[in-house]
Amino acid sequence: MSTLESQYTISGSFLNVVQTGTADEQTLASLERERQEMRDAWDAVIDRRLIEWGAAPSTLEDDGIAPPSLDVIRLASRLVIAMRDQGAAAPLRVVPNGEGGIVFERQSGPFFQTLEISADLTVELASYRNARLVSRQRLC
Amino acid sequence: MPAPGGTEPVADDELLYRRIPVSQRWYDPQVDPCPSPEAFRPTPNDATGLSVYRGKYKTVEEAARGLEGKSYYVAVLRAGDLRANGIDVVPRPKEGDPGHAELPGLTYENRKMDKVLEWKVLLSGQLCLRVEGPFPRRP
Repeated sequence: MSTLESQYTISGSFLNVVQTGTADEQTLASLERERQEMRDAWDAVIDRRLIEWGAAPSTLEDDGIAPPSLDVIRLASRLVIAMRDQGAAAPLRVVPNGEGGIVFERQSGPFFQTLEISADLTVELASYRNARLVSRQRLC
Repeated sequence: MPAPGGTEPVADDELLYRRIPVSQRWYDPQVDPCPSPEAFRPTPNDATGLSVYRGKYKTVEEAARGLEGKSYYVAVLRAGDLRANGIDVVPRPKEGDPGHAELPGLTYENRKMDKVLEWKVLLSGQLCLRVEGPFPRRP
């Protein structure tokens, strides 16, 4: 397995600052707006997903499908807050994995990444390029 | 005319349907036109292969029928596309359900293998032709 291929999205405002070496008020305002939008997107994961699942896990039950436990939801909440506070890009999706865990998914062009919290509270990061697995590592 | 019982091989041009529970949010057209790879994760019910339904035996609406009171989307796949990417499809008719088929390479037991993880991403991002629904919950 090759090493993890980094793939970060640089916003237009940030790129402008890097390229010109300057940051006028408009650029700074734009950067602040983007930062706030990113925080709002992470907060929505907690407000519209994790709290909802914790309050009514039975809504996720289906044939052969188990909802995430409260411990998994708590760990997911801690991860969301940590990633939000570090300014990480918001995920494409946050979904149950169907067997008691939760998966964060991120897509950027040909790159696809999953951060999965399993029912046993282990966390695994997997990265794909054009649907080929390029890296898979257990984080805890 | 289909052979009795649905035991004849799945032809390359056959459409296959994979049911996706709305409740799991594995598909949201406002987020992404593709479903999540989790829609193709084998469950304990997929001991011998990931369940799909053959379009020659069922309509999309029929394939969407799951548990009572639940709503479902249906992902549409083509058998030949799967085989071209190394994913086999075999008929696995059940009593009263001749249109049942399976992807034997994706089972509950091997669901964490690298190849199965790749196939899930491939199925969701490249091989899924479209997603239909949501189909209303059964009363």
